[in-house]
Amino acid sequence: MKRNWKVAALAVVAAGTLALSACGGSTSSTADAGAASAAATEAAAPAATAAASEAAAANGNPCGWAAAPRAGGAKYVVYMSSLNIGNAWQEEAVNLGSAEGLMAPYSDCVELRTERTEPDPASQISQIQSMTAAGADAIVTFALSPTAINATFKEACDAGVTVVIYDATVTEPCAYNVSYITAKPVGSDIPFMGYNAMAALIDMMGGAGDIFVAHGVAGTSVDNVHYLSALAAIEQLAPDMNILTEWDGNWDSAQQQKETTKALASNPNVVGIFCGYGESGCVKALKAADKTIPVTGETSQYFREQLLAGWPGVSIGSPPAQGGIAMKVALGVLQYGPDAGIPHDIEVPFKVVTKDTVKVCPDDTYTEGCNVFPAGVVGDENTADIFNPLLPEASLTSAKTGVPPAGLVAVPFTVDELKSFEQDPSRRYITREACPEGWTQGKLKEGLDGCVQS
Amino acid sequence: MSDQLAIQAQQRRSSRMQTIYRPLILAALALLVLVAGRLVSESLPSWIAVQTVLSLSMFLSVVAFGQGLVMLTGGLDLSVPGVIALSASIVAVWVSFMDGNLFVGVLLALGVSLLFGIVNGVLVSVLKAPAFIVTLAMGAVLEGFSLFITYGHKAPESPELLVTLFSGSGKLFGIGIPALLFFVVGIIGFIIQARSRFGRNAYLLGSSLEASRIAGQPVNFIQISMYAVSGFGAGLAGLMLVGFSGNAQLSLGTEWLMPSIAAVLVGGTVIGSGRGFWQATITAGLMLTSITIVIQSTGVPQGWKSVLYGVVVLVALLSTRSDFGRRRRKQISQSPLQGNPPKK
Amino acid sequence: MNTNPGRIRQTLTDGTGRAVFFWLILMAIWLSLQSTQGMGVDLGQIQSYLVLSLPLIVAAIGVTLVIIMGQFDLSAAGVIGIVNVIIASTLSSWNPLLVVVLMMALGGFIGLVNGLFVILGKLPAIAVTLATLIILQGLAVVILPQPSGKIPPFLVDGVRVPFVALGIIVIIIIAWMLFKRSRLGLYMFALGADPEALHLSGLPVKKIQLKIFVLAGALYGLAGVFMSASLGSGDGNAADSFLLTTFAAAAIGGTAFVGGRGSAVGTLFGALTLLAIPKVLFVIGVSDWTQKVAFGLLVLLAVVAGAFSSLRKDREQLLVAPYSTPTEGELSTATKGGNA
Repeated sequence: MKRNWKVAALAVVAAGTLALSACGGSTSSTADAGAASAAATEAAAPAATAAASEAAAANGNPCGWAAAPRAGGAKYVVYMSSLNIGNAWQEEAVNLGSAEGLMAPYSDCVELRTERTEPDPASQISQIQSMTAAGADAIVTFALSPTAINATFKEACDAGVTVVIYDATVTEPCAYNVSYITAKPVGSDIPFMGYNAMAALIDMMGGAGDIFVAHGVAGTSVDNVHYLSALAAIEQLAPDMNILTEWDGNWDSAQQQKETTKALASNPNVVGIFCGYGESGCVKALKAADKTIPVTGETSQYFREQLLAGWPGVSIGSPPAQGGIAMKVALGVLQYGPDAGIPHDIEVPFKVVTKDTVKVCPDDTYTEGCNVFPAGVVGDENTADIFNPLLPEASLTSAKTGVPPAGLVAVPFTVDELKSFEQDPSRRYITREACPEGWTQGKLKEGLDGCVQS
Repeated sequence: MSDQLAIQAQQRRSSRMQTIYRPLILAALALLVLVAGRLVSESLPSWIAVQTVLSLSMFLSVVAFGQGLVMLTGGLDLSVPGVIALSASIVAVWVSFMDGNLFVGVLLALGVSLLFGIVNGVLVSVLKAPAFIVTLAMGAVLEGFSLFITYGHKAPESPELLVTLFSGSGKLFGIGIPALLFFVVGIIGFIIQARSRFGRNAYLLGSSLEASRIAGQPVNFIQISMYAVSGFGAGLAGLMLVGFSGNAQLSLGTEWLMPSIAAVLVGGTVIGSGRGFWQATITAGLMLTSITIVIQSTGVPQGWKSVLYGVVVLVALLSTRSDFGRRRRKQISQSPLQGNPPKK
Repeated sequence: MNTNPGRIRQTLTDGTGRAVFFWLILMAIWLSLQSTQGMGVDLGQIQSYLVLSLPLIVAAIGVTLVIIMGQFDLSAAGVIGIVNVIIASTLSSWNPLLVVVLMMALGGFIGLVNGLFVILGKLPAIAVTLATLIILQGLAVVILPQPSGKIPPFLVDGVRVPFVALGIIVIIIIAWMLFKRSRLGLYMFALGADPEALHLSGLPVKKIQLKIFVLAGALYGLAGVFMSASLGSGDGNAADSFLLTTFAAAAIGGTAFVGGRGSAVGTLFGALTLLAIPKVLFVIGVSDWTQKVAFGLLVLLAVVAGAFSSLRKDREQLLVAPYSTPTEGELSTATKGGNA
């Protein structure tokens, strides 16, 4: 009995310590923080070059950018973060973003730090808070949920951090969304990956037949946007088409393969598959079953190699270049200031690749119009969509290692350039759950809730 | 005394129930489910469906074998996805980047899996740490290791031979090799679990740790060997799955953990009771796989499919349970998920 | 309790004391390193850390109760998820206190269903609750097809008021002190330590089990409310990680997975430890693959250290008093010879 009370007492003391350490910490640390971090930066990157200090002379800030670094150091602290799930797409995106901060002219102005988050909201929230406390000037991250991290992003914004989200979007208004989700693919007048992919599939199937639909992760907004717009395409272009069955492919090729195998067992007469990320799994299952039918998938190397070999399909999906583009947007906001007019909703154009347009990338660096690497250069799940018109400085080396090859120079955005990629207000509701002023919620013709001019 | 006789008689009855009737019922249910699948898909039942069920169940069985043994002796092995990822990464990296010999790569992968299985076993049996958490944390460590060895590389691809063997593209007598392997796995598993000394030790240990100890059995050694086998089995599954998928990735094993536990439970294994039979586990795997195929082919939305699957698992548990009421009360004390009951 | 040389050692061999100790070390590393980096430490950050820990703490305590009773409950993640989507989709403008009560009642009801299947269906709890988990996760996605919705602002802002989270933690500690001395608390420990003895003593074992399942369910419901408050919105997949972290928290807190031994306070600090580990790794600068390895090793360290010291304690007690069962010192049930 006595011992229990002792433990209880210890627990209460610990709880007290918690409160005390909080107060103590807050008073003690801030004073020497600046000096410490400055020292750290110098150690990390000895080349605080003359060019940078000259530019700094203009307004006293590093590189003469809009505001002083939050932590008071000689460089801006910028975090690049992705999910720690060993996924080829995530790695390419985070590496492209990191490489951006290590290229001239940014390398003189920015101290880049790369982080990875475990894939649950509590971990991401905790990490964003840590980054904010560590003096981040900008955080560029893949968001696990469009809503669950919002309060934390808001806290970061209020503390003066520039928050830029790539690929999947968030509804928090202060964060910048850099995403392909509502964008128009290059060469199409219609927005949405799902709509375009389904339209292409319908075209390949001659407008009729029964298909499978493979989701990414049910319960996510990205998946929902793809799915609803794909349904709208069926309704408008081929109302007689049937969906035999649907499944959750977890954005993972192993899972897609397992599920496709199951679906082929119960419906071997299928004539087309609308497959989400992990499409190499869909194709591998089809190959094992000796079936060659049209497939729409995202951007994997394996899938495009199949297209190159003549597989009927269309490859259209999320470009990992978004990681690098989002980093440039974040650096743009730091450079020009938050009031310079960089839009908060930026659409990233993406490619549609068929067996007629698939083209091999000869070099390590950007080549106009190429969309698949030579066989054996990258793994099945990597993608050549690291190359994007908005990211001409991308290279395969950067995407693999996060470190740019010597001599590559970043091409900063101008404010006007970014304005030309601003999301159309009619699609704002999809990513923000709200409409801009002068617009009200209404149905888009692609089957989603959007905004109409009132 | 008469009470004890009654218990013995009941044990014999329930033992027959376990070893013969339950597997038969489960296998019949699996077939029935495929036939009833006609209601949702015109193409069911079919030879293709049977093959698919067999080959997917094969992977499930390999994972469930070690899992079942560990559960029999009162533990749980959550490190399975980590071991699968690591073993797959090792063989893929060894062969595709280091130009190593496939045979050596396979031995290396299996050896490492075995080693980590042994580490799990030592932590659980010697240090008496809860199996649930030891294997969970070990899983995280192994996932980290597999990220490390694939890091900076292109996603490593599987050796050709493994692809031919396990992707279903290789065929023997017109039947996919994985489907045929189901029977091989079934027979080998049966021999090990039901006919070998190793298997008997598992049952003895599971049914009464104290009795094992008194009987002079090397209790710790037996317990460690269960985890070693589970690690080895998961490593083997990793080799098979890297062949099935064509490349190594972290998520290779995550979708097989819960189904393997479900198969063991629906097969009637009661954790830490020393009661549970391999033939029931693999037939439960067959039935659950058939059910997922049929559920998947229904037109209901994704969420409802999950609900349906959960209900089916519950019904399967209820319908195949044998009445252990009397025994179970006793076992609760040494049951959930620790290597050993506290010494008294 | 026999006299034991060295109070510190005694505290360290106690599960709860060890969890507190381990947590204090992590906090010291986190706060001392962070105070020399970047912006230093402020009260708000500790506050956010506590708010983020609340759902795990409450859910893990529910899981702990069931473990102490000698059973296993996997449904926590399912209940938390469904509570979150229900609040976000339909209850966002309801009276917040009513929401709390309703959601705890919902959790309690799910616990009741679990308990009835286990007791009347004579099924293993781990199997039943695995099924409930799958069903609830499916329902969550049905109710909320994509993340959206709002949580009553009173809840969202309420938990963020300084010292509210700390206050809740203190209340939890006090509630546990009272509960474990209550009749139900004592029976719960006894049931886990020696179910046979409890049966023989003629106590209503089934009723006790059912009550604990319901109580645990209600706690998951409350955890769901706290998670909703900390996220501020609904997301059908947000609770998935609770399946394993709740058990990890219980294990770090020194709960014996054979039943009969454990403490909510230990679990509380186990949960705080789990959420402090990423903070420590961040300030040390560990990212990429080492992050997973370091996390796994730290959890192993916490658990194995605990297992090791209780092993030693068991040995000592075996020497001193071979025929008494020390279960938190509350209840000594005489063991029958032979099997446990």
